[in-house]
Amino acid sequence: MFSKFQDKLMQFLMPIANKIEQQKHLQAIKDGMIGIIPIIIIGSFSLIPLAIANLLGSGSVYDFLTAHMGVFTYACKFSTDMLSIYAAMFIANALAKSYGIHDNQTAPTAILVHLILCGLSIEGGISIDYLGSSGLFTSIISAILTVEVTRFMKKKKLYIRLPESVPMMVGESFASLLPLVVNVVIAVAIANISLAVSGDVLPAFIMSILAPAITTMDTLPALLIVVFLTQFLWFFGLHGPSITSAVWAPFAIAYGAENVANFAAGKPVEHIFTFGLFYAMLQVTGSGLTLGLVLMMMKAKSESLRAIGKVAIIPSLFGINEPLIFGAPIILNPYMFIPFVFGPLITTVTTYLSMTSGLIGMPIAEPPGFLPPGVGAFLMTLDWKAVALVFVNLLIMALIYYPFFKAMDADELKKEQSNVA
Amino acid sequence: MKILLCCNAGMSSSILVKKIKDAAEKRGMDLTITAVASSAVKEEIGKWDVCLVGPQLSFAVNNLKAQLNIPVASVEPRIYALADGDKALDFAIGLLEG
Repeated sequence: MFSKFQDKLMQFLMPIANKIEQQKHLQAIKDGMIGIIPIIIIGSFSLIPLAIANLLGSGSVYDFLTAHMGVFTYACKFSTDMLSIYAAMFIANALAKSYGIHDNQTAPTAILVHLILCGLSIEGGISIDYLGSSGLFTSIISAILTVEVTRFMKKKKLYIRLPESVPMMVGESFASLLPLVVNVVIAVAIANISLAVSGDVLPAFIMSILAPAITTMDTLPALLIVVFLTQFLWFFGLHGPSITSAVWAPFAIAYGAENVANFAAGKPVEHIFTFGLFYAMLQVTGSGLTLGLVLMMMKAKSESLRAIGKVAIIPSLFGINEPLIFGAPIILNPYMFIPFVFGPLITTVTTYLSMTSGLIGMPIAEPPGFLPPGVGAFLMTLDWKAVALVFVNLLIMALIYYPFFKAMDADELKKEQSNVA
Repeated sequence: MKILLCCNAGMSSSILVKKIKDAAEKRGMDLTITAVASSAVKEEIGKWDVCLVGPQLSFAVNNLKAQLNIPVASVEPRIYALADGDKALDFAIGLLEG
């Protein structure tokens, strides 16, 4: 009966996963947003001296750090504080490539369009208020607008044609001129309409429209839904985060960037659901927090589980658990359904509540991915208590897996023995 | 023979890369192989003979096939989990020939 139910669900899930994968805009937004993570990480690292100074509070090291803080956090101004410019470029690049547009004009055009949409002219310069995390959602619009206009014009062959005797380079630079002009004209129009109608720059207007979604995503129920769907998809052998992040990654990355910026500016850090939180805490050692399970499998009675345990342990330490998921296997394994799909909801609750109650530090930085358990959590919060929580969560998950693992191991052993006999 | 391996971040499939390389070396085969993230496949068009996909991205096979225009298939889960280079190489050869 279980397998019939599985077949039905599989038939239902595969087309959905496929649709999301083929939706060019969603994929471009996801890929582009993930593209800016290294830039947030750089911005995060430049904040470490600030965090150390905050921890110390006084003393000669503190005095030294605070005296030179401008130097330490210098890179922040040009990385996280101007993040949306890079996002516009990355998203435009990803989308253009998926359409097979390979000119090198599109990304710079997207940057130009984005600057027009976000840059607020002020006396003697431009304001960068909306070029950071608060401009991230606008960068999605800037990028998609630019690429779609360019694609439309290429498709309709709307470009300036020169006689064939004109050298190719000259011809190409002319050919790309018209999409650039049209894009800039549209951007200037949108920017000014927004100013005239809403009295504010476009990013402020967009943020006010998106406000309900932005606050909703950063709550415990939203996190639980995301974690549940991720685990559920994995149970059917589909890469959970890859599919679900098409929706949540833009939010999580915007949250993370805002946290980094707020921390740098000495303002309160408010968001919990950052990209780093998801991977360094909620999915530490791989989706399902499977480290404990892998360790148990290394000591399993059945030979096949023991073999997988040995293969899976090293990748697990770096957050890669595909060998376990496909080897044990966890996919479509009735024993693993309950602990793998529902267990992580419990550790999501412990993590969320630990942060809201102030028991552990908030995500003030964006850590690199694929780090051993605890390292990412430490770089993200600079709080050793967050590291302790990672191991508590891994222990909770190990206890949840234990009875199910025992049953699976006994079953597997029986199969092996009957094969021999 | 040129094999492209593809998974979500190019991480888990990179485990298999080395094993397939070893298997090919033992057979004295001339083989070029690399692992990439599925989002980076756009850069790889026209460079490869065949593409193997991690089973976790089996849903993306048709999309990748359309982009790359070469035989694309997802690796059998057990082979992928154990990083069985020999069997994965056989699978790739079979895919190219068949």
